[in-house]
Amino acid sequence: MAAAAEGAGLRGRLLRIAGASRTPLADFGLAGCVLLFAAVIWMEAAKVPPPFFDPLGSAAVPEGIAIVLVVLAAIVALRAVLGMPERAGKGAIGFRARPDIAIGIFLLAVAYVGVMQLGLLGFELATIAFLAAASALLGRFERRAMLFGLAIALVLGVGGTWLFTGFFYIDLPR
Amino acid sequence: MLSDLAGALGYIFTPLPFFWVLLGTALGIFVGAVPGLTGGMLIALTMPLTFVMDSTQALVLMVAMYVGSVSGGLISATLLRMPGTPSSVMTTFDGHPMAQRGEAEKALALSIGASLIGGLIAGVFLVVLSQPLSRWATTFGPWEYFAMVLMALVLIASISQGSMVKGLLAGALGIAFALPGLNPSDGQLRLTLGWHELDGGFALLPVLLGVFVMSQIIEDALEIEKKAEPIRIGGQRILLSLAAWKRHWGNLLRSSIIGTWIGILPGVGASISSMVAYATARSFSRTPEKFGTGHEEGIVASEAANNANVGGALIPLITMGIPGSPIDAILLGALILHNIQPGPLLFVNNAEFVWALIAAYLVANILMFIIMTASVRWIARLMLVNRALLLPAIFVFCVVGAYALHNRMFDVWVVLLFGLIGFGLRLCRVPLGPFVIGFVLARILEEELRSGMQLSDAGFWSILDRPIALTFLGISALTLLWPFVQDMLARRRRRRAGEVSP
Repeated sequence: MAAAAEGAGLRGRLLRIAGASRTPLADFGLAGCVLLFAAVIWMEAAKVPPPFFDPLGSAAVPEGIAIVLVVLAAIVALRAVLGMPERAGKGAIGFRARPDIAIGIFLLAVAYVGVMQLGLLGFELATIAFLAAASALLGRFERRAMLFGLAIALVLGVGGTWLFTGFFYIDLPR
Repeated sequence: MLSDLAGALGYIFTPLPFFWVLLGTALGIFVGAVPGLTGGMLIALTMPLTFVMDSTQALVLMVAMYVGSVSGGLISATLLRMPGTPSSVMTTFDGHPMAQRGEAEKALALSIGASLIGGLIAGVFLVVLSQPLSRWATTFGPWEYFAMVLMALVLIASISQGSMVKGLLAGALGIAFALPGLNPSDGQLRLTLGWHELDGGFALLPVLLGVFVMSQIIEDALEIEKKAEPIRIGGQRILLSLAAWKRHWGNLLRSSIIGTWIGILPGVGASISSMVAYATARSFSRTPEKFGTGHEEGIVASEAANNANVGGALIPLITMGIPGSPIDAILLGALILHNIQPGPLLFVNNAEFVWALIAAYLVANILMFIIMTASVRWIARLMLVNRALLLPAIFVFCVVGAYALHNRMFDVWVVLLFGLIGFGLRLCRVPLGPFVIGFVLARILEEELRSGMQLSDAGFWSILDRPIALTFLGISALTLLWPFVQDMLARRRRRRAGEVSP
């Protein structure tokens, strides 16, 4: 009983000092990613040769940051353990979140950059295709939005290419 | 000082610089008013377009955008109950209820007027403090710089919204991502994972575009179904008489000073300013219970403080090269990209440039007032612009901007990578401000630490001989230990209360 009270007391103190996570699951993921990242930094820093004249060397700061990241990730994980799952219902935000559209727009962006990287399409054509597809996706494939999107894609694709190369003298991906 | 300012104002009122200030302010107001678009996004996107511009005019344009974007947020905060910028969150609490009860014009007039006064009061501090502070900063050695940068990172991490741990984590991650590449002090390559593209590290612009713009595009796509019905503005004019302002002078002055002071603190943004000013106004008010129900004092406090914060935040940027807010970190990056060395010597080497920025800030505030008073009805219609058409076009600008930096696709991939990282951090409620400031300041932090250690055989411990550096370190330590001190004090209070009660 006393131990339980002490535990609750310790938990209470930790909660007051470190605070409780309101997104425990996400925070576990975050802590894991940060730990992994810190491990990569540490291993890469270990490959740097020791300094000759410089008192600090090139590895000291990365190693120091890796330690700081590990400590902070541990605290984030501790806060996640202490935290209660967020109770707010899905309706609380007042609109329907669309992860499908968010993922879709990111994949379209990757495809847009990818086709230019591979030289499959030049900037002008790739931009027209990307703008038309992305505005259709964000407009949830409504006919009016798609038509508007296509018109704007043509104007921005052709006009934008002229503007960037002819007016701002910026090189564009070929 | 005044003659320098007069000369700079003369320069700003020549046609081209004036056009840039006008354009920057108007664009800033627009992005500020549209929920989902931010000033940081606009300035990061504009940066590559300014490569062909004269450096002074480029920075003048960006400072005007900064002023406009912080002000524009008040329109959507009042009419939509959706703050266009995070710094307008407090304005929604009283601006929207006022608009709901048919006083939208008055709420907007109060917000716009308070923004002008807040901006101008901060402008006075900017004019008066910048040169002496800059002179003082020239006496700093490497240890003072190192300790100051560390303090800036700790402050922004601890005061930024959300948990202090996540703020610190964001700052540390920002520093970590700035480390890969060639270390200029000893020519060693580090953390490149064998990729030659990483030999030069991650360039600042693609990182900014990713963190501020791409992550926002993904978030906006996630919330594409978020809709709001704006409150219509009636036919009354958006201008209050001086008599109507009379009872707000004390609040205006206090909130502006709070905004300026918090702005001067390295790394603390406009959102915190408006929160602190709002809370202070409520505690000073004779009618604190009315706050949050459409009270004029709440609007005045929030808007005066967030605009004053812009001027305050420019002070450490100009005088010491330390960004006062995340947008200042972008401006710092713009200075570097335009080959202008930030830091205390900026005033010594480029006095005319600095005065031009200060003059642009003052003129932008006045233009903001004129533009918003004259056209808030039209801007209110623009704020519901179709995001399905806007977001893809913004990404195209990101691609062009990132590619134009070094003419390589690697930088465009960096935008996508940091967009994903930024979005992930947003999901976990990790603030992005400390991340960007950590990224920008990492190099300075390491260089100053190295220089300090080379100065003496005592290595790191020679910092103990530097009182200013020790003061900065003390503030950092106190900030970090504050939660523990708070807990200790609370326990002592409870114990005493237990002893007193029978």
